[in-house]
Amino acid sequence: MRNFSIKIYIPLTLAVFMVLGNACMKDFLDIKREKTQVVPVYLRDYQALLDDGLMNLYYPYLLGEIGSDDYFITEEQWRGLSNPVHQNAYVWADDVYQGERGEDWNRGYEKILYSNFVLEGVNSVKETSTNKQLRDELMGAAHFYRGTQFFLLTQLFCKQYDKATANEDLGLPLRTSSNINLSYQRSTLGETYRQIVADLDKATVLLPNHMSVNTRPWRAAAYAMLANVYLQMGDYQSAHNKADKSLNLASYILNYNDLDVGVNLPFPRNGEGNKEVIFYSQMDNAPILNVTRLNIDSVLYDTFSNDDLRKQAFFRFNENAGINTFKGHYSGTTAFMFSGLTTAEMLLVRMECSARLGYVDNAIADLNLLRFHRFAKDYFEPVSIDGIAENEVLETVLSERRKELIFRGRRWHDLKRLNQDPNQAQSLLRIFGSEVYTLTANSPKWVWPIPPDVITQGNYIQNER
Amino acid sequence: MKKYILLFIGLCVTVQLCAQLSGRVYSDDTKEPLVGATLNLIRTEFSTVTDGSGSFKIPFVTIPDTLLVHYTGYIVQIIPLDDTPTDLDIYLKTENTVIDEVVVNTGYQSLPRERATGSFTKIDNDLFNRSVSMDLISRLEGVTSGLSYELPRTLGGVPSSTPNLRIRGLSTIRGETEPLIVVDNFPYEGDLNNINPNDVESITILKDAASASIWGARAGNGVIVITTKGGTSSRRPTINFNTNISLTERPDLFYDRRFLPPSEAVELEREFFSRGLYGKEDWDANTPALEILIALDEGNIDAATANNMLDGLKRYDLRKEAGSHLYRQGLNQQYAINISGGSDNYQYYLSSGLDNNASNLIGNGYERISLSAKNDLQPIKKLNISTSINFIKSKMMNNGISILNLAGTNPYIYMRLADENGDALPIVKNNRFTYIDKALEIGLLDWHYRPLEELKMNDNITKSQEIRVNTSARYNLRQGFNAEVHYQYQSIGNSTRVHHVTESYFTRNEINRFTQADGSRPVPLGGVLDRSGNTFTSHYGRAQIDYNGAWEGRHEINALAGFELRHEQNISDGSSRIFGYDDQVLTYISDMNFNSNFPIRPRLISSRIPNGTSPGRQFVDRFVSYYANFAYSWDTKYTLSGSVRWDASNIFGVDFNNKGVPLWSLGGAWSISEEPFFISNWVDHAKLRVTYGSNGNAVRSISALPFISYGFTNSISRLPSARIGSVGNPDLSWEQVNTVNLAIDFSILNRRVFGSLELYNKQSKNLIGEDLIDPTTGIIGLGNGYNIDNQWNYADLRAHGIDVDVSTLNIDKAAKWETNMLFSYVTNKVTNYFAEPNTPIIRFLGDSSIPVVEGNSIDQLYAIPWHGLDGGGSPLVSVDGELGNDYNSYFSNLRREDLLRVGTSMPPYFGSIRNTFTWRSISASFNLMWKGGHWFRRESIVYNWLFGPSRLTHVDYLTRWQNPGDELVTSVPSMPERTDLRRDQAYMFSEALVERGDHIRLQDVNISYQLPQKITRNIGVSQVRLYGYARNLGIIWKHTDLDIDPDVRALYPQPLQIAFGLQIQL
Repeated sequence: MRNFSIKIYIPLTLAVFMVLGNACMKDFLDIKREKTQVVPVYLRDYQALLDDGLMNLYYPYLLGEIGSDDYFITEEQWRGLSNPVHQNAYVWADDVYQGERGEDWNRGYEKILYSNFVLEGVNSVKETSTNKQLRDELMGAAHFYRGTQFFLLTQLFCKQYDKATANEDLGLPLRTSSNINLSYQRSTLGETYRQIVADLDKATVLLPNHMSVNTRPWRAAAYAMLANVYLQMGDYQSAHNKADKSLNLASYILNYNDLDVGVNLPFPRNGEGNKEVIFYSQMDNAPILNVTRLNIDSVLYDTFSNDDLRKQAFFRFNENAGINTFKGHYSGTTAFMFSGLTTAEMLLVRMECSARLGYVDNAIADLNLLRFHRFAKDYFEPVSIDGIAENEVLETVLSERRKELIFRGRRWHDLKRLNQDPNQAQSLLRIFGSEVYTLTANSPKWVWPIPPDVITQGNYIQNER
Repeated sequence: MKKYILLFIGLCVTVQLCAQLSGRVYSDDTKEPLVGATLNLIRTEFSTVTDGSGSFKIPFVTIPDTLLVHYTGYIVQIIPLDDTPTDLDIYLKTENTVIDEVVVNTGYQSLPRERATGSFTKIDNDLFNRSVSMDLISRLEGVTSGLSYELPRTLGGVPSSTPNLRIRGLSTIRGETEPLIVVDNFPYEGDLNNINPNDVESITILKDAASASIWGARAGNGVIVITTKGGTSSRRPTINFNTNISLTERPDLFYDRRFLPPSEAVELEREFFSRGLYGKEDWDANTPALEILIALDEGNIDAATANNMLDGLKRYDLRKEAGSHLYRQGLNQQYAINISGGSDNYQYYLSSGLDNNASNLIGNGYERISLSAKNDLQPIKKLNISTSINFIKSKMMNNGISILNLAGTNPYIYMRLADENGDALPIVKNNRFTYIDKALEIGLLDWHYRPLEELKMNDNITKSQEIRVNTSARYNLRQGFNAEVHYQYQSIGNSTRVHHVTESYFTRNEINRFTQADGSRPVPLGGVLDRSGNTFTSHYGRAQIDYNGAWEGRHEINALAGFELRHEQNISDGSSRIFGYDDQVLTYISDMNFNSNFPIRPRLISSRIPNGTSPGRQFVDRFVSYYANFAYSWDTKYTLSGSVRWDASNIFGVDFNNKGVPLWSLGGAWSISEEPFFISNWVDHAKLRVTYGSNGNAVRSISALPFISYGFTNSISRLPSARIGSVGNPDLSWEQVNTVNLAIDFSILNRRVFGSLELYNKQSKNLIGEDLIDPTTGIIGLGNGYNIDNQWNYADLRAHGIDVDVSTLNIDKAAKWETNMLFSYVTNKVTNYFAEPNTPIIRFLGDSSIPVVEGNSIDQLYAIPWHGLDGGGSPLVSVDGELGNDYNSYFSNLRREDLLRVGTSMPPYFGSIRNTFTWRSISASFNLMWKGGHWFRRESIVYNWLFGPSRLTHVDYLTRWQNPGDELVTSVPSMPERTDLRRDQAYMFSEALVERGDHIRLQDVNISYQLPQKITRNIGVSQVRLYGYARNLGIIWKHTDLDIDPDVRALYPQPLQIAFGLQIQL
């Protein structure tokens, strides 16, 4: 009897359990754990990723901005900094990181992962006549972001582009897949720039002709970014061409006469309603670049004419410190520095290229166009072609660029490219009492080292220092 | 009944021998008759109870038969009836808990301790009720071996009362460390405070693999099984009433060493002033002392007046002010009543409880009502249907203002809350008085913050409601075989409502900040109402078949197999805020402008109105489990047990769900004292147990699929957005804990000494840990603003330890003296972990999230060497073998190898000694608890914080280096001219500030008195017990000489609590 029971009941029970279990188990378990966690499938999921603030924040400019000469800090302020990376970057120390992470590298490659994730995802969504527009826009935006990040990282971690050596100089690891199991070694600088140009070229084709919000890239932004890339490469013809195309799509220049330049923050928050902004992005906030420490060198300050409204709009006299500090953030907050693209910047690119290519009239015209919008209405006097020697045009244009693009992350890029020209090259100095730190124009320290954790994990070749 | 009579007649006819039996049942102790004792005849299944005089009568007895006599609280007496008895006088012996047969409950089955191979701790009803508390978990402290009960450090905050429980140390690195809690056979996911302790019958703690592995992928941290009370078939209803009142002292606000005496604090502000550390804008908030110094500096008052005013401030001490205006003596009241009873085919248990707590922070309190009904029904033979319904409603008032809520987290110590007449005074909060005083003139609302007025207006209430319904049916298929099904539904709803009335500072401040230059108010007049809530629902189902059988008198088998489905859903409603709210007519202002930036006072920086709204979240957890368990005993000497369980879940990855291996255990027990060769005069019983097996720990925070998370908002465009949460991990699995347990149970000297000794080794593998990935992949790990998960199953951890549990009956006469001793040792070591090589060294010296290092304990505490102070009062550090003050190069050259591994922050040794004295019906017990072998880092003065925005002081400031030579007597550095965090760190991270944590405390005292039955019978009740209980009685001995409680890293230690209670049984 007992044997019978065991023989019958146990298999019977097990059979019942198995049938019940397997039939419903897959459906029962095939459920997301968290509702806001979504396995991305639809285009709207990818749009939501590209709409995230991460794609507009933490642009990798910090090392360059900290290391350049828009500002200076006192020794006491410097000693009070808690982040050793910022301290070291300020004096271009040999060991920049002291074991800490490199936020520029991490933030740049994080956006590249997003771009790759979106490109792969959108590619797997079949194109239909109804989704083509959105699909193109998302692909275009992903290419824009990837190209832009590669470009910005190149400025920090690679040598200045030189056509002659570009195919030997070290570029970036060109990570173009979200698969973390794939490994990419450093490419040549030439390959890196070809990737940047290819990405941005695709973006100019795919992106729409109109801006919806200033945090989403559109065609004018892609042309503007491309213009910046060509300018950095020294390809002035192409840079002129792209800047011109961008200006054809977006040409509004903000007239500072319409602003109350005296207030603490003259520009609207987040570039809201500032039609000069083609694309909005900002840098990470670093205590070293906090408003209390942004001391402006009096030489730079004095280059602004008193009739130039930028002088009032950009600077504020800090009575406690007895020095001028910066307040002209296009972000509308002192917490973050704007690093996005503006029509005024495109004018500057176009005028510089015109000057370099010998179209002096065009350069002067663009210069006057910009100045008209920057100078006090009653005091604006156009620069006359007759009043300026031809060889001074470039210098005037570059000086205008220096003034307009202060604290936009452009200074490091400009210093790097201008250092190639012996007439423009300059060394930077940091002076703490008797101690003087120098960054000479031909120093290898214009290339920041790759963060140590990246080198250890990825086995990349480190930059010389 | 008719059926029985017929049966008896039939039996009488066939067996011939039948007779009538009568007699009385007495208590052996008191010799008093027992009313309502149950008598059962085993063969004829006849039963009856004694009447009011303790007499009984059985009409037909067939010989032979066996008579069983039961009475609650007494040992069952078995009387064989071999010849015709006449009158029987039966004396029942009182149940001695010490020698009671222990039945342990795993949540799937109940089994006698004798047949268990695994490691259990059973807290029976008496031990559980020794403590008086509103909650259940605090009653486990100090009575459970291997259970460490640590209140989390709140670093100067209000002490937490929710402990971190660890059963036998750690078995995970990044996963959940809390044990699984099971209430009435199913996991309990609600707030444990929702369980009325008066309904709890017993608690069983499952510690090793064999006991816990039946819980599979959730059992890795051990399991606490709570069994609630049920009905009895005693026929006569038993009514139990229990009430107690407990008083909590006012907290000792002078405990926290961060506050300086007011006189010193005021003097220190001169230093702040001379260093220019005060707000210079006309709205910047400054302390009253600084305002006086500013006025002096600006020539508005003369030096004599200023000094007078400063001396005036020194008279006040916030700790005293707060002690009388913000704190009070707490009062907790508890009332519980239950009725149980039943018949042979129906048993019931009904209970209700009411708790009303007034916290020692004025304005805070808690109320709970709990109702439960449990019914067991046997409608036909072989079928038992059981249902229970529990309903709990609670309300938490959170209106108190703690000393830490006053101004930042670091109030100025000479703050006054009320004037001489007791009227509320304003305190300096966000803005300067001179700025605020202008508010009314320029059309703003009054902008002062008066804590005592706020205390009256605060309206912050969290309500909770829980319903738990259990249904089960058990059917006896045929001899030994039973099938059962269980279903449980649980629903918990919590909602919080915070109403900031128009007059409250919060509302006035929001309105004023946003009031525009033209007087318009983007934040309208009227109250602000914040609401949030969450709901939890679960459905659990189980089908199980079991077999219990014995044959040939030697073999015994218990086996069960079953499967289980679990579905849990947790919905958080997020939060919502409405403005311009009128609580009288429930109207609010709907056309708010949340999108524009407004210049806000005082700085006129632009900001949007914080809309206080968030979308909420929703989680679903599902489990499918199959399990089986068996135990075989031979001749009661040898027992072999085993279990196997397989879990699948929507948490685990697809690959793992498909291929996952089951969790299992094997165990054996040998009652060596039963062997014929075992001859001993002094050993009564000895049993060896060995088990091995594996449990799991499901880490719910990690996802198997690539996913993106919605719920973000682009701070610039305000577009809703999503972020990548994980690039996917199809191999995600549970963490696995393999445990070996070796144990001996013993009883010697006629059961005067008994207990157990257990040794265990827990090898955890497949643990979740951060992987080291090249950041170029875009995966940087969680935290610091990065969101993409880099955690996988790979790490290993080992924990091993000893649990000793010894009880002695020292005196066993009219007076009794019993001692229970617990001793536990546990330690852990990380055996495989990818430690980040570039981890900043400072993180090892921090207070939380200390990096995990392979080869060290997870609880490792590090410090840097201390070389004393130099002649100028600065800490010395060693750079290239030379002592000096170059802190920057010291810290930049500091390597992980240079750190001192001081010890662990969790006690490796802990235990308790409980002595119970009983004389007649008075009993008293004292529990001493001790912890040892661990270290802690104490706080001290950090000048960078002192002169930083927090102005954090510390009494060590008073013993700082001040004059040459002080370096011989103090290790507190001098006050530097310029603050240097590195200089502070050379002191605060050094071994000078690490202290041994060893201590012994008198945990609690319980005294109870049971009224003699003579008296109780006269008043018509069967039992009356009066009891007193005191807890948090303080430290008896500690290793450190400082006035610090090593367990308390909070604003104040848990205050003394004294309770009085009364229990009546009808």
